[in-house]
Amino acid sequence: RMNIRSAKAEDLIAMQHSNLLCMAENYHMKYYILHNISWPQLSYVAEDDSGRIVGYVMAKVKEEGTVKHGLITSLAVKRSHRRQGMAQNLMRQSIRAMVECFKAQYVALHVRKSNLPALRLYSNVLHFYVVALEPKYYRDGEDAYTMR
Amino acid sequence: MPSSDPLPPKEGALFRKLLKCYELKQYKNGLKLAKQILSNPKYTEHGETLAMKGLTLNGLGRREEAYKYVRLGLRNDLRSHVCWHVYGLLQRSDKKYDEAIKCYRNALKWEKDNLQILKDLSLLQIQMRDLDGYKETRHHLFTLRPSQHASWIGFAMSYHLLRDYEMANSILDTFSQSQTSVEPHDYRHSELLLYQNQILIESDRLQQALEHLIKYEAQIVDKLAVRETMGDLYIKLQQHEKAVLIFESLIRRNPENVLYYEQYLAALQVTESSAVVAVYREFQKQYPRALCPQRLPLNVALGDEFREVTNEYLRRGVRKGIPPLFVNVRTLHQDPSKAAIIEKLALEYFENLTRSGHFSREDADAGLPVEPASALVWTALFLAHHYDYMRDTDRALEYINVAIDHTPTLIDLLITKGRIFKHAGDPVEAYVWLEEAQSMDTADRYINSKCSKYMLRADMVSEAEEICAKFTREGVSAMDNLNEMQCMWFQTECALAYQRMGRLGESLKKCHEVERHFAEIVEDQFDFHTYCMRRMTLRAYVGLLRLEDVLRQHPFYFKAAKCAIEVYIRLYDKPLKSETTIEEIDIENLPPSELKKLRSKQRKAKKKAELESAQAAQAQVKREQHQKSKQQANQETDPDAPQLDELVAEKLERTDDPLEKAIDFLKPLQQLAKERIETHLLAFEVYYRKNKLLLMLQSIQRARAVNPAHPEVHSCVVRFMKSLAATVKQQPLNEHVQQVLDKATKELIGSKTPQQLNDEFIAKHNASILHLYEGARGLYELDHSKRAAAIKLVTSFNLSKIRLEEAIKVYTALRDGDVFGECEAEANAYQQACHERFQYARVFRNVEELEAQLQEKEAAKLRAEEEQQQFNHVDSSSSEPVSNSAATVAAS
Repeated sequence: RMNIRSAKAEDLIAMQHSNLLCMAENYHMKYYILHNISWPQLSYVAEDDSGRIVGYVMAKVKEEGTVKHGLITSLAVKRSHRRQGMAQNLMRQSIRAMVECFKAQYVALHVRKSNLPALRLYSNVLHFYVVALEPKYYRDGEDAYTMR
Repeated sequence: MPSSDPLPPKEGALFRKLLKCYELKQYKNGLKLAKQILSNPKYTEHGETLAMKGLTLNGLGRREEAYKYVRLGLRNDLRSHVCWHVYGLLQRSDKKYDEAIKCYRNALKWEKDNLQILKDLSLLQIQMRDLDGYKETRHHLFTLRPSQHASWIGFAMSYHLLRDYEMANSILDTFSQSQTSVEPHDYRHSELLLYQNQILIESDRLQQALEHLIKYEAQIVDKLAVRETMGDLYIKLQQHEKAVLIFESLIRRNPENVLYYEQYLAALQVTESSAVVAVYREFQKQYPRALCPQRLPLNVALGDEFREVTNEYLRRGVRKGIPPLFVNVRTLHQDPSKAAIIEKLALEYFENLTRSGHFSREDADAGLPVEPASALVWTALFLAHHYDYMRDTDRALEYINVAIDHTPTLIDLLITKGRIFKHAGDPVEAYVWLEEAQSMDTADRYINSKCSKYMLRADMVSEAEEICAKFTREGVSAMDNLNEMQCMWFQTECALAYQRMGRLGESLKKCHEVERHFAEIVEDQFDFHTYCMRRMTLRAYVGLLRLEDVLRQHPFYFKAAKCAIEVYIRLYDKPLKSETTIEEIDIENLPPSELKKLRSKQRKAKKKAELESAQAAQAQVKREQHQKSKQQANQETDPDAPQLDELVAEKLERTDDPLEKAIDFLKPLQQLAKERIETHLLAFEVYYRKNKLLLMLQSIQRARAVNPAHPEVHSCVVRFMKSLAATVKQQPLNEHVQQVLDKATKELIGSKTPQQLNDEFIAKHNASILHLYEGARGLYELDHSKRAAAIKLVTSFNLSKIRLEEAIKVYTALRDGDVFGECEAEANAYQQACHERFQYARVFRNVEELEAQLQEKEAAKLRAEEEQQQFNHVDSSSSEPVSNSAATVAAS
C-alpha cells in the first residue's frame, strides 16, 4: 500500500527526517514550518503500509512582478520505496495545487547535473525542460540545471 | 508617548533618534545618542535613556551590561511604561517569557492603550498558551482598532482556541459581512472562509458547515479542501449518493490516496469482503497504473479470494521488480493464515521460475512466454524478507544468497542481507554488508545513512561519523554539522551506542542535544504568530499550535528521553568513581605478572588519555572559534538568540542529582506519552529510588491502566510493597497518606503477602519467559536465600520457545549480576545454551571465538591485498609495451 496525501503539521518532523536520510541539502525545522504556513496546499507526503512517511515534496510560490511561479524546494523518496512512481505522483499533486490555489504560470526546479534518474523523471515523465545551467549551485560545488 | 520624566526638547529629539536607531539595528549610533543625553549633568540618571542604553547593548550581544542598565533605568523611573516595556523586551529576547509578560503588564498599568505593548503582550501570551490572557488582550486590541483586519482575526482566533466556537464564528460572520468586495481569485479570503468552516465543523454544526461550504464554494480557491470536506460532511450527514460522486472525482484526481477509497466505500455502504474486492477491481480497470486499487483489496479479501488477488499482486510486483514489494504486504503477516498463503505463493514462484521460468506449472503447460530473468531474483529477495520477518535466519540467508549469486550488483540485496544479520543479533556482520552496499553507490545518501546507522548499532561511533561526513558540510566536524541540522536519528543512535559502551556522559550529551532540538522547535513558532495573520493561512497556523502543544509526543523525543532516563538511573545506582579513586586498585595482592600487565595497561591508558586530552583541547579551541564566529554571525542576523551553555559530557555524567535530571526528561513523557507503558515503568524506577511511595503507586496504577498484564508491572508491585514495609518500619506515615496507601494496596494485591503474590504470579505465568523473569526477580528480591531457585526458574525455560530479545534480556541480567547477584557460572552456561539456539547472535558467542574470527578476516584481507599487489605488478610489467605503442600511435 502507499498513500499520497497533503502534508500536515504533524508530518513535518518525519519530512525533515526523510530529507536528512536521503538528501544532501538539509533545512532547519523552521523552514519546514515556513512552507507549511505559507503554502499549506503545496506539500505532499507518501506513506507506506504502516503509515510511515517514505517520501515527500515541498514547494513554494514565488512572485516576480505580476507573474507567479511555483518552485519545488525539495523532493525525496527513500531508496527502499523507489520504482513505484511515488515521486511522479507527489509532483503531480503539488503542481496541480500550485495552479489551482496560487495561479502559478509555470513550475521551476533545480536538479543536480549528475542526478540522471531525477533528470529522466522531470523531462521524460513530467515534461520539464532545461532553461539554464547554474554553475556551482550546490554547496559541494556541483552545477544545477534549472528546469521548467 | 507622554513620559513620567519628560526630557527637554533637545534631549527629547535625541531620545526619539535613539529609539529609531534601535529599530534600525544601528546599535553603535544608538549608544552614542544615549551617551549624549546622559552626559547632560541634569539627566545622568534618566531612567528611560538608561533602559534604552541597556536594550541597545543587548542588541550588541552584551547581555550582562544590558541587564545592568535596564534595571538601573527602571529603578530610576518605576512609573515609566517605556522602562517596563524595555525590561519586557529584554526578558523576551532572553526567552524568559513569563517574566516578560509581567513586565508588559506593569507597562500597561501606566499606559493602558499602548498598541505596541498590547501586541507584544499578545504574542507572548499565545506563545505561553495563556489563552485567557490572550483573549483579553485581543479584545482590547479589537476595541482600539476595530478597522484593522488583524484585529478581527486575532479576536476570533482567541475564542476559537478557547473552544468558544459560537463566539469565534459570529465574529468571523460579522467580519465577512463587512467586507464588501471580494476579488475573483483571493487566496486570503479563501483561506479565511475555510478557517471559518473548520470552526463550524469542530463545533459539530455539520449541517451549517455544509451550507456554508456550498454557499462560498465559488470563492474558495483550495478546491481540494472543498471537495474533501464536503465529501466527509455528506457521509456524516447520511447523504451518501452525493458523497459517492465526490469521492469518485477525488480518486480521479489522486488515485493513490487510501482515505478516498475508504470513504468511497463508506458512501457506497459496501462492507462485505467480496463486494469490496469487486469495487477495487473496477478501479483497477479504470486506473490500471494506480497501485492503491491493486493493493487495498488484499486487506479485506479472505480465503481463496485472498489467494487470487495476492497472486495477481505479487506476480505483477515480481515481474516489474519493485524493491519494496515485501514491505507493501508486511502488515498482512499479522494474520497467520494470510502469511501462510503468501509464503506458499512465493515458494511456488521460486520453484517454477527455477525450473521453467514461469510463475506456475499451469503457465508452463499453457505455453505462456517465460518471465524476465530478474523475476527469480525478486522472488528470492521477497522470500528472504519473508523468512527474516519470521525470524528464520537460516532460510532467509539461503534465499538472499541465491539472489546475490544471481545478481551480485543489486544493492538492495546487500542491504537485505545486512538486515537479516541485524535481526539475527549480529550487528557487526550486518554493518559489513551495509558498508559493501554503500561502496557500490557512494552518491546515494540513503545508503550512506543506513550504513552509518548500522555502524552505530555495532557501537562504531567514529566510523559512523566518518561515513556521514561524506554528506555534511566541509570544514565542520560531521558531529557538529549533524547537530546543527537537527539530525535526530543519528544523535539518538549515537546516544544508544554510547549507553551500550558505558560512555554515559557522551550518551547524555546526545540526549540533551535532541532535547534542545525540541526546545528550539517550540521556540520556532514565535515568529509565526504575526506572520500567519498576513498570510491568512489560519488552518495551518492552528495546526501548528496544536502540534507544538504535543510536540514531545514524537517518537524521536521518546527514544532520546528514555535513553537519558536510563542513563541517569544507572548513574544513580553506580555513581562514577571520582578520577583519583580509579587508580587505587589493590595492587599489593597482585601476582608480579599481573602487576606488570596492569602497569603497562596503565601506561598505555595514560598515554591515550594525554593524547585525547590534547585532541580535546584542540577541538575546544576550534569549537570556541566556531562559536565566536557563529556569535558574530548571529549578531548580524538575530541579536535575540541567547547563547546556550555548552554540553560537556564529563560534567553531565558527574551531576549531583541524576534523578532530578531524569525527571526533567520524564515529565513530558508523563504528560504526552501516557499511552506508552514504558513511560510509567520508567517513572516507577525513578520514584522507587527516591522512595516516593505515592508517586510509585501512581506509576503502577497508570501502567496497569495501559496494560495490567505487562510482566514488569509485577516487579513494580513487589518492590513497592517492599519499600512500603521498610518505610513504615522506620517511622509511621502521615494518617492520610497511610489511608491512601492502604486502600490502594488492597486493590492491588488484596490480603496476600508479597510472597504469596509472587508465588501465584509464577504459577500463573509459567509459559511466558518475560513473566517468569519478573517472578524470579521477585523471588530473589523478597528472599535472597532463594537465589538458586530464582536463577533456575529463568535458565530452565525451554529455549526453543524463546525469542532472541528475551534470551538477551535474561542473559545480560545474569552476566551483569545486578538482578540476581554475581552468578558467573550460571551466566556462562546460559550463554552456551543460547549460543546453540541463536547461532548468529554475537552476544552469545565467546570472546575467543570472535577474536579468532576477526584474525581470520584480517588474514584474508591481507592475502587479498598481496594478491592484488602481485597482480598489479604483473599487470604493470606487461602493460609497458602497450603504452609504448600507444605513445607511438599518438605521436604519429
